[in-house]
Amino acid sequence: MSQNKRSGRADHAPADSPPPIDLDLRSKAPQAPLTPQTERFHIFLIDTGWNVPVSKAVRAHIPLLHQYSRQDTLYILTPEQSVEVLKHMPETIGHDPIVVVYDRYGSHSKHSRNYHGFRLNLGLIKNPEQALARLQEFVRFVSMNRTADCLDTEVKRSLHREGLQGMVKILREASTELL
Amino acid sequence: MNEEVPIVPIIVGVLGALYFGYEIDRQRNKLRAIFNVFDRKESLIASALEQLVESGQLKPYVPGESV
Repeated sequence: MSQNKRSGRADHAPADSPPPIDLDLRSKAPQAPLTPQTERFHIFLIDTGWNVPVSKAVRAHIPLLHQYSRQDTLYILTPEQSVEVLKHMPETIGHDPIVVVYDRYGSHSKHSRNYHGFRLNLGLIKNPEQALARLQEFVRFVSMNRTADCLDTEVKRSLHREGLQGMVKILREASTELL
Repeated sequence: MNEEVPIVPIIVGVLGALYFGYEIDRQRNKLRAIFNVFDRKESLIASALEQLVESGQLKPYVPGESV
């Protein structure tokens, strides 16, 4: 699959007929121990353009996002493609820009038919600066947890601020916002 | 023996603790809404995304291309 993807990337320049990319977003057991260089995530940006200020801020930072996760594959959907995809998930209409991250090597469970990862609903944030802060947190999280066995646990602990440490972090953030 | 129990500070303390708990919970719910772990919904859009990529309509991002 990696080979196919690489060839897809190479053929992105005008060419006759690029070979089809065989994409399977389901998680599977890694063949080798995970390293920081492992191509682990498929990242999709779904953005219909509904939330204009946040959309502009996110799109302006896509090159940076790509630079931080060169090992992974990033896909940017057009507004039309985003609308089509969100029709499958109507409850998230208006939550875009949404960054959807599929983990190729997530732990298996019956609940999500072996699709693992997480999503970042940036459209829920009205202020572009706050949205960028969350995007930075997301990039930091992905970089720091590339080799984690169970990403779901890390999301809860780190991003949802669960536990005592998370509570302290919430308080610290609240005090910073007040300043 | 007839010491009065300081009701007002106790009530203020309890209300403060309740508000603290409520605020932490509110912030966590907000974060859960923004950063969401996958559930069934993502498996519904996964096939749509796979099809877009496999049909060649959606290609990996290449630095320098306009977005």
